[in-house]
Amino acid sequence: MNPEGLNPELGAVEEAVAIEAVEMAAIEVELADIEHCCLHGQPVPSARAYRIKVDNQYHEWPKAHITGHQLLHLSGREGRLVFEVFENFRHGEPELISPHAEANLRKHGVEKFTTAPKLVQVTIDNEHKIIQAGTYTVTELKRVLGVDPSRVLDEVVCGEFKELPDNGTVHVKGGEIFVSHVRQGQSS
Amino acid sequence: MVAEEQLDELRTAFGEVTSMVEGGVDLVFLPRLVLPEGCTPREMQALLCVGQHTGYATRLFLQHAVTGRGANWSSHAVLGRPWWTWSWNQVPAHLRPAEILAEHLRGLR
Repeated sequence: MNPEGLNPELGAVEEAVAIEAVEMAAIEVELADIEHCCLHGQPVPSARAYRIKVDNQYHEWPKAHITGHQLLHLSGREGRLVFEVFENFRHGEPELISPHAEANLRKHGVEKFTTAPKLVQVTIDNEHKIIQAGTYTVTELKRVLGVDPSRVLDEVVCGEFKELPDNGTVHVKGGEIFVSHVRQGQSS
Repeated sequence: MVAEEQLDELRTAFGEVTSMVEGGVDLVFLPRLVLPEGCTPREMQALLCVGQHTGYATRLFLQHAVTGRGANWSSHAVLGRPWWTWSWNQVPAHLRPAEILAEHLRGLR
C-alpha cells in the first residue's frame, strides 16, 4: 500500500481511538439504568454499560447508541415475520426506529423500547386485509388470509397470475394482490 | 353487465379494462394479459367471456393462438374481430371474473 493510501486509514483509526478514549474518560458510572433515570427525571450518565428495557425484558448494552436491528435481536423478534421497534418516552408518542437508525440511550426521557408486528395491507379476492409483513409458507398465508386450504392461491404480479404452490413461500411487503379459486376448469 | 366492483378488481391487476356485451353475453377486454411461463407469446390482448359461449360455461379469448400450451385451438369472431381460444371447460359463470380468469390461465400452465 502506498503512503498516500495509508495515511487516511491511519487517520480514521486514530480518530476512532480518540473518541473511545474520550468516552472512557467520561465514564461516570458502571451501569446506567435508563428506565430509572427516566422515571426520576434524571439525565442518563455516561456509563460502561446501559440497562435497557426491551419488551419488558432487561438487557445490558455496552454502548450509548443502539440500532433498531440490534434492539430487534435483543428482543428475539428476528425471524420470518417482520417486527418494528419503537422508542418509548415517559411523555409523548412512541417513535419508530428503523433497522439501521440509532437510538441514543442517553437522550433525555427515553424510558424503554417495545416491538410490534409490522402490519401491511394486501388484497385477497377483492377485499383489503391487514396482515403482518414477512415470509409465509403458502399454507400459512392461506390461513392468515382466511382462504380455504383447498383453494388455489394466485398472486397477481405486473398483470401476471402466478400460482403459489402450497409448499412454496411468499414474502409479503404490503400491496400484494392475491386471488383464490377452486380447481374446476378441465380440458374438454 | 359485470359489476363495477368486480371490474375494479381486474383494474387493480391489469390497469384499464373494459366491459362489453355481445349477444347478451358479458365480455371483459384486457388490453395486456401476461400468460404463464412456457406460453409463446407471453403478452397479448384478451377477452374474458364470463357467460356461456359455443357450449362452454365461460371462455378466455386471446389475441393470438399460443404455442406450447393448451390443446385444440380454434378461432372465433367476437366483437367484430378474430380471437383464439383452446379447449378448456367447466369454469362456471357464477364466479368473480378474476376467479374465472385465474382458472382459465391454469389451463395454460
